[in-house]
Amino acid sequence: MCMKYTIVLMLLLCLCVNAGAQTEPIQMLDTVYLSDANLKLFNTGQKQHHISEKAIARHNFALTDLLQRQTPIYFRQNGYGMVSSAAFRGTTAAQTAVLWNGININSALTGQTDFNTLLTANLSSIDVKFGGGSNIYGTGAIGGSIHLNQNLSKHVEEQHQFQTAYGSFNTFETQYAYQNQWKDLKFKLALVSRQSDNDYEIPEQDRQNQNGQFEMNSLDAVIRYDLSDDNILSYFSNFTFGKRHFSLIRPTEPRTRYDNIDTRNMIEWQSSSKHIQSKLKLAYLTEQFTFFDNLLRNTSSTSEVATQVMQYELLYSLDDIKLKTILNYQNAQGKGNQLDSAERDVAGISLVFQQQLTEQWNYEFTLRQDVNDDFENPFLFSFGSQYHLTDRWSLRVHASRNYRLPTFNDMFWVNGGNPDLVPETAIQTEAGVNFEAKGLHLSLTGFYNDINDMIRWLPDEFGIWRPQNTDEVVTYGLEPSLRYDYQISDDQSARFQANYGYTVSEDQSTDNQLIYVPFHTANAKLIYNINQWDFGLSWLYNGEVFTQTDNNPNRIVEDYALLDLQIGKRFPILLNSRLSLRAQNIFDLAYEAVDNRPMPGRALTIQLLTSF
Amino acid sequence: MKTFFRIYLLFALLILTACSNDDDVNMPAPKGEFDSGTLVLNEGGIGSVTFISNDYSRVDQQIYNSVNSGEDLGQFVQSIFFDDNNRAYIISNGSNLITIVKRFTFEKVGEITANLDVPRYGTVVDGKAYVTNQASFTTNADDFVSVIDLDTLETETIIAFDVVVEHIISDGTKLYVQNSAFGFGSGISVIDPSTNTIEAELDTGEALQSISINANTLYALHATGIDAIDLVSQELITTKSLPSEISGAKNLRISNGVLYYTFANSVYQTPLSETVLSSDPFISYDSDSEFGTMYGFEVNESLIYLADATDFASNGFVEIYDLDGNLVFETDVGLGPNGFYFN
Repeated sequence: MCMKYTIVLMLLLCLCVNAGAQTEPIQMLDTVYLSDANLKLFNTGQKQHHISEKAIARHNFALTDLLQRQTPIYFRQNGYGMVSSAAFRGTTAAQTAVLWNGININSALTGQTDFNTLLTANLSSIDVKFGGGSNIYGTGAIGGSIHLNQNLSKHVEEQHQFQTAYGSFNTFETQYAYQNQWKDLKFKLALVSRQSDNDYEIPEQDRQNQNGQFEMNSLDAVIRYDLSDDNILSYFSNFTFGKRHFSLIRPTEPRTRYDNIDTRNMIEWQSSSKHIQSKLKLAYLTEQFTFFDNLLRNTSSTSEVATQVMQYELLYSLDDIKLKTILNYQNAQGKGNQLDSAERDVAGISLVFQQQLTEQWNYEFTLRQDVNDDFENPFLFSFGSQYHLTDRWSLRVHASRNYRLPTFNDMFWVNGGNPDLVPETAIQTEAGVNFEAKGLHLSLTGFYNDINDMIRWLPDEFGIWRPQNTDEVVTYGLEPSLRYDYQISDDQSARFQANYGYTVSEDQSTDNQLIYVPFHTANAKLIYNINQWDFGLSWLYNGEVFTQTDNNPNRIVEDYALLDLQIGKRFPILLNSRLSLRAQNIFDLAYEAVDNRPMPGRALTIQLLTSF
Repeated sequence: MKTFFRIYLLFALLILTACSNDDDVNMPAPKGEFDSGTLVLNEGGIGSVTFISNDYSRVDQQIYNSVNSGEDLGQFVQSIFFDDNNRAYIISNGSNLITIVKRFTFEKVGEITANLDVPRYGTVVDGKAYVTNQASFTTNADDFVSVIDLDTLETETIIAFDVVVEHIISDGTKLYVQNSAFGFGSGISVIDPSTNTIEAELDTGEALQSISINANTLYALHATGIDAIDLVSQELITTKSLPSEISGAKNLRISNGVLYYTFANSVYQTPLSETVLSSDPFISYDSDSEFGTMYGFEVNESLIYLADATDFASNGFVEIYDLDGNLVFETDVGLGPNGFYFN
């Protein structure tokens, strides 16, 4: 019932805005069109970190590697290139939302994103939003959210871009992108591939990483058509397919492989007038994986989910006030040989209000209610405010209530799905202070997160593993960060940036730290440019983590610090190319990210980027 | 209880000391560091073995790793079986590996890796090991028993099954394979070791949990009772009924004419002569989590051993009771304790 009303309401709103748009005067649009506009408009009081296209290009194509070196998020990687999940602000893997052009792409099956299935090269920016975001982004945005953006400017120049890299363990990375404009139609087509034998010698052990080879490919398209100065039609498309073998601890273990095929297609229509902007997003997402549990026997199991998303956003701006409504409807249908037939409808409405009270002071609040057939959904809210004490100092606070729905696996797994689960909820508060001076940006954020009804898989009295709403977890911590840009002379510049995260993540029944959540994470980067040369030094630290819930001090994965080095030179006359040499883990350090899953030692890469 | 125990220990020690001073020659020499005690198998992650000495004066964790430095037992160690030459075979189902050690010293003497595919349980008849393998979890059609010559450690043959294989036990002449796992399935296959073929398939009740042999009779605990099957005629003699409130009971053991079985966090006992199984708990123990209870269970020489795997992500613990239901000893062990073996 509710769904139908929602759809009707959405359609009505569309018509209204369209009618309005024709009579209102023309408004100039931003030159860069960001599908996920809420990122820029509604972030009062929350810590946010922007990673530019330029910064993305300085890393390899693996999203895990990039985020580890740019943010304090901890990644639990089951061996290099294998399954990679995030622990953001001390939360579990399914409590970080990943958004692709504003649409949540966490797996409907597991609730999480495997960060080693996503490639960075075709993205135009990545934004990391710390803390709760369910009010705008729905289920899963508890620890934080990671936003993968693909933008197209209003004016596009014809360009071919070609990147290729070759490195240790027979690792190839290739990207080709082409963009052009024909009158009001702009587009960018890109394909990217990353593959590796991944057969690294394991430092300090007399063996090689076996059965670790992987390949991941992605085809992307962004098309923008300016119907008029105030009506933009956009189309986003992503097709990702990969094959990964899962590495062995011993050569006698069964060899396994994991194939994934994901498609994401979205059409979007933005209509603007003087005070009103409306946006309709229609998306169709599919995910499919096949797990071969023994390659010799060629036995496998497959699961797939198709999700339809309809989102309508209506923004009203008047002087110092912004008011926005977001209507969202999602239908997901899953099937597979390990899954009872699964279907879910979720509809939600958000209301966002923002006001610039004075030049120094603004605030926003949001309200959201989701409904679906299976659960009582909690009522969500958030409040954020920022106050500029002086030109340099500002204070911010944010509080929100967020939630996560049980996943398809949690509910419908044939041998243990639990249909009686309730959503996880989390109350989060954070406060921070920013300092900005010429070239210098400092911020300090403290957060506190109270998570209830956390879902965990445990064996029941018959020994069958089933998900239960068992845990109450409190996470809190501090996140200082620093960035300093210094123009030394006309042809010399330097940048230094550093992030640190101190995170306590406590199971309330035992007062123990959650497993695989380090107390300390840190990274730092120094980049120095001179003429056409650039030099980069990157440092990454992950503190020790417990691998047992009793916090047994003998059962830990030890801390590690990695140092990477990068040297690049640009050749503007040679097809605007840049040649770079990169060394990861230059001290060839032996380390593990997960117990018994050793990571590679020193890895060298040579990379060439041209554009013409 | 504890005071009583200390006194008992002191007394025992005095006697032992006295003995060793005066009558050295009469004391059997210990066969190794891990003689006269219980081995607790901890599944892992990476598996480990805990040794508890019979006088409870020693609890040694990770004994395999401490004797054989740099070695490990592989992922998810499922069970141990022994041969007549005091060798122990430790099965890792996650690594397709059987590690062979001297049972009293835990020195590694070899390993078996060929023709294993998710090995589960094993037993020895006439110098040959019979090991059940479940292979792919997505089908039972590829399950098999590998027959391994223990002199050469070569696979002698593979016996193919089209049903799941789990526990394997022997009365010395035949082998009996439980055709159910994780509470699903029923039936028992009989292997004739002289031909290494399946000679018969015995029916049992559904949701077969556990099998055990006592005095030429095979007992099979399932959802609604315990089937007693005569090993000579291979006919069902009788079915003892299981009260529905403890349907799902597991861990059938028989000792001195008494049937023992567990349900949730309780141990039950019924004399073999009874036709209806008792649903009155005989021992109940506290488990912080209500899950992972009775992950290991054994009855041996008037003592009842039970293991709790807690949340499978922290150390499990073991409790030992006497036949009156009194707690005799308890200790923490490794990750996921799933079985007891006696040296």
